[in-house]
Amino acid sequence: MARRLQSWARTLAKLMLLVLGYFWLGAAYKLFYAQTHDVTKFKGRIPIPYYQQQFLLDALLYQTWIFGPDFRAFIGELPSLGTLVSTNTQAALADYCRDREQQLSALPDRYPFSLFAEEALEDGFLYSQGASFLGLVGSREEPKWLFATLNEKGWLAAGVPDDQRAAELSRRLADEYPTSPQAPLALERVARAEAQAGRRSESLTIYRRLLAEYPRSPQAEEAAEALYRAAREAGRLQQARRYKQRALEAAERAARERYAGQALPARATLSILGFRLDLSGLELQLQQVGPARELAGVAEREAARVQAYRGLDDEQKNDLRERREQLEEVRNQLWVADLFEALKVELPGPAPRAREFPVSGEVSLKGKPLEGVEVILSERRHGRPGPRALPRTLEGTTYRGRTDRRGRFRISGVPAGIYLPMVVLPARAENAVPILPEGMDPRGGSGFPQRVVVQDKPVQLPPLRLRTALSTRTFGEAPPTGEAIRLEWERWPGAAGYAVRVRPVRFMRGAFLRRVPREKRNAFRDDPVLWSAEKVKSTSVDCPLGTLVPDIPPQALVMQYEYEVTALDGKGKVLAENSRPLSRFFLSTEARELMLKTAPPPPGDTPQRRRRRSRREER
Amino acid sequence: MTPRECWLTAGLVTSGVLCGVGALWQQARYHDARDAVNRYVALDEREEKEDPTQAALVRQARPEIRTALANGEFDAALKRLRALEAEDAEATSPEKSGPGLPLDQLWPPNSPERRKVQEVLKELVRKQAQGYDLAPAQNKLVEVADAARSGNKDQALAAFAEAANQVRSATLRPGFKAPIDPAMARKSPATAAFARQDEEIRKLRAFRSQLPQMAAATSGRAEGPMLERLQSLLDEILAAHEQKRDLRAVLALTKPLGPAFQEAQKSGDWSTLERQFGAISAAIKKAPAFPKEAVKAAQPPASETPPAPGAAPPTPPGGVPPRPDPKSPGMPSPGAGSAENLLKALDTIRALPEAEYQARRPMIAMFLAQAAGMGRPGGAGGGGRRSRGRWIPVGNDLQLLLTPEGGIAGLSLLGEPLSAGMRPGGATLHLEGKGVVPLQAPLTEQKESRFLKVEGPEGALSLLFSPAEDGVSLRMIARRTGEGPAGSLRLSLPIRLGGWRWSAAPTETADALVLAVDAEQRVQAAGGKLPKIVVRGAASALQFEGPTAAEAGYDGKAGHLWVRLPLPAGQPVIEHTVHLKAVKHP
Repeated sequence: MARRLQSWARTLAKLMLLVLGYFWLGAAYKLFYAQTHDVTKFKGRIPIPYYQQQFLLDALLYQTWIFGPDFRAFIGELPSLGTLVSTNTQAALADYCRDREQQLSALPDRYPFSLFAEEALEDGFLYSQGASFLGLVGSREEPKWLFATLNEKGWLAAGVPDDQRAAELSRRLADEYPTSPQAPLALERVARAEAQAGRRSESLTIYRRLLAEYPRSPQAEEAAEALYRAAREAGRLQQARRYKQRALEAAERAARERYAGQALPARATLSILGFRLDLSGLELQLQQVGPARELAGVAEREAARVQAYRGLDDEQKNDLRERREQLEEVRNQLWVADLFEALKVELPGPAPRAREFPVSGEVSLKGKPLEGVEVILSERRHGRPGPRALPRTLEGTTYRGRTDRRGRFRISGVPAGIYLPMVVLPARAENAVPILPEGMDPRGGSGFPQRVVVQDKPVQLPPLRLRTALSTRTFGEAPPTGEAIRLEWERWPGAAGYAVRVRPVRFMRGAFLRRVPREKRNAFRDDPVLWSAEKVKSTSVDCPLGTLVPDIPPQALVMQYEYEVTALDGKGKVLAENSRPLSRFFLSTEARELMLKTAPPPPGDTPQRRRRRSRREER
Repeated sequence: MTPRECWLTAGLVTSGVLCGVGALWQQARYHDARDAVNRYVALDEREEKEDPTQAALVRQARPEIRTALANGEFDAALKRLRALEAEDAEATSPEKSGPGLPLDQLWPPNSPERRKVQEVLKELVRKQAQGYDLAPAQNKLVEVADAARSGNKDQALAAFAEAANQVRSATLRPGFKAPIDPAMARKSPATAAFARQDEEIRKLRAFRSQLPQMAAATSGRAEGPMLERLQSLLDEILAAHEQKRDLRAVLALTKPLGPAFQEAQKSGDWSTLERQFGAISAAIKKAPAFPKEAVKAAQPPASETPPAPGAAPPTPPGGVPPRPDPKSPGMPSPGAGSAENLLKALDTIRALPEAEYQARRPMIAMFLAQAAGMGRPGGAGGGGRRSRGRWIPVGNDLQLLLTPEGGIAGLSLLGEPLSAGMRPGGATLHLEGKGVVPLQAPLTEQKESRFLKVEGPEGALSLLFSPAEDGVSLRMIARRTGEGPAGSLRLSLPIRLGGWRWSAAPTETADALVLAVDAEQRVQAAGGKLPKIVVRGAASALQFEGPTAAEAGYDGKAGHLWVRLPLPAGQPVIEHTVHLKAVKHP
């Protein structure tokens, strides 16, 4: 018996070793391949790092130790599935990303001779960005900066994701490992971060450096494109054309090198086609009909070739359709150019650039000048950007000014035109008191213009007045108090009472629509108040859990709420209100379980559905 | 074999093998080079023979291959050559957009039309350099190109007329000032003043044409009477200008009307505005006449073209009335300014209370439809997208061309266009005591039919254009949900019928009447039924049947064939059908 057992044990051990050996050999091969090849091209749409993708099974089997502790630290551990389904998902992911960021950013210092130092910094950047975004969306981190836009109802403020740490990691990678394949990408990220922070000339310098030092990298294309946009905005069309030409060359070179000796695949051709058509339009603007016609000719042949492909996916088909429309546009413009030529009229060149004037103003907090507030003039016409689009919006704005110690700002060289003002301000003042622009309440009358019109002289904007806001204490994970959530805030001097309203955060209001009759849903979308309390005398109030149940109760796992507290005097006059980006919360595990236990049946739950459900349960 | 012979043999064999290997090596080493050079030369020859578009890919690849050859990188050159061959082989011939119209067919050489086009283009170049916003006009020119390349002459000419109008009414971009015309500067101050006044009056005239629509939408509100007064005041100004009177002082007084109107809307106090109206009226009466020489000298050249149908009217001086307050009923014209105006209008719509929004939905729909047709992104160098073809055809033998806003832009009979260069028609609602409201809403596609629906506080009105046997049928259904006055719906079809024979009788054998160019015909329903109308041309005839219509007719001056469909009060559902048929002569 003992011998048989021994034999079984030996067999199982061999089998296990065989399986593990398979994984070890596979891991060794993958590692060897990754260290000897440029793996940046394996990045998919979801930004999961290469090593994490490839060593997923090894990580699950705890077999990453075979390449040493630095590799183990580099791969890390996957987020616990239990945590993801028991606590708020965004918050749990934000925590995971933050932990990984810290782990990865420390790796090069901890293991100076590690093979994975560059990759660790690269992955650290991705985790850092994820942590900032998820931390903001998942109410895990208070925003340090607010982004405020003005509309007819007053100022609207939202938190700005803090990407400084991510930018710092990219800077480290670009400076410490300039020969790494990740260096051009890191440099591009640094340039973007500089542009987002309003340091435009520094950003352009980095793009120029990228173009000069890494001309064969795919990022050279993006750098040339960014420089093209800058030159175009400045009205330097000739220079813009040169940069566009370089972008086209970079895209073509990268594609030709990657697919040497082959016809270019559809995706690469479509990308090149876009550059070619843009360049053709630009040539036409510069009255260069011949080169424009030639470019259009090449583009036409390329478009015809892509169209001949059989296996285009939907995205490529859409791209191709857009390119063909663009091509038709260029062809039409060429026809117009021929019309001018046939009628012996000189082609209209680029429209003269509008004259430039400075725009200045001042920012004050309770009458005292405030330093470090940024006023942005945007040509954007699509209202307020969301948290995802915000960094891109900030990156694309040229006309920005930051207040000095006297609270004054000056934006020089603003071409005549109409602009939307936007403001980036600190979420809290030096004494940690939250601040907001005046005129946050509807029809509050901020005195600041909704549109800045620059005509034919320098513009002096009315002062932008900021004021302190009511300070709230409930933020992030909210535990239950009985069958409610306690919302707390600081006392406001002179307040006789407070009005409190609880809403879902902006992008989650759709989860509560069914509780409202169909005809009132539009009004609910505008102001989705889930629960309110008027004339609260104390500085806390209990919001019943039952009022926070979404239409599909399990969605409570990802739900985020915000609350508004308005301090009122004895006559009901508004004295102050809180800063909503600093007053967001989500339900703790206990609160959510309690809520689901006491949750009323979801709206629209008909007797038939109930019967069907009970039958299913019986089965 | 002796060892010496062995060594010798081995040496010979080794030498032979080495020579063979060397020869093979040479072959392998220089075969690529020869192949690459041969292919490059063939490529060169091909480029010379082929037309420029076909050889575009070759021309693009040439410098790269030449550099590789010059650097001795034969392998790289060969790879690029092979890629080029693969790319060139897969490309089909470029798609043609259509038969295309040569320029001479659009505007014949040495014709006055061609000279007019030249003038417009010159004006465009001049104005663009002066800082005018010519992007809409350039977009229209691109539409001209689109229509011409598709072989659609009518559409190309209509688009050019709109482009010409946009060049004329172009507004200055922010930060630019209107330059002083040197030709005008040489003339006397009175001449220059009259020319400037003429320009201002043109803008006012365009604005005046929108006022009935605004007034109809505000009936029953405080703004309504004021807009009606404004109409009569503008009529006075226009009449005075026709009399060549000096209205500089009057026009200066109209400038503050915009802010005053806005202020009055907010405060509800209209007295200030009334006082201003009175002052303007008095100033008109006192206005002296311009010297005759000044008027004569300032007359524009004869090449002035009338504004194109549907063209964007210019902004009136002073912006009267200004952007409406959320409480106010007025809606800025989408064509009256740039995208900024549109944004302002959207802001206004967003701020409307729900009840008011519901009450004004039809007007908003009409406004948005106009705005959708206003301007498209793109322009010279722009990369915007644009739909092909502006008009939507319905029917085959008899084809109606509909505008995206539901107007009737034209009609063609057996492929023959009968509405070239004419103003679009469409449906207008005539309600007792409420004036005339044009019905416009975005057209919806329903299989081969097109559908237009307008809703208001009193009910909904829908119009269905569907192809029928040999023609098109137009079905109108009105549903009343609230009390409302009686009225009628007038449908106008732009058509030129001068010289055609008109017969309207229960039987077709009745005597036919030859229509004069400016003829006016009217047929009324007899015994509750409108007789069938047949209009005969040289090769075809148009048959018009609308038994439930109240009357129908032809207005030669306006060039409209029209029909009036009654909308009696108190009837919850009203339905009318009109058939238009093409009849080919045997």
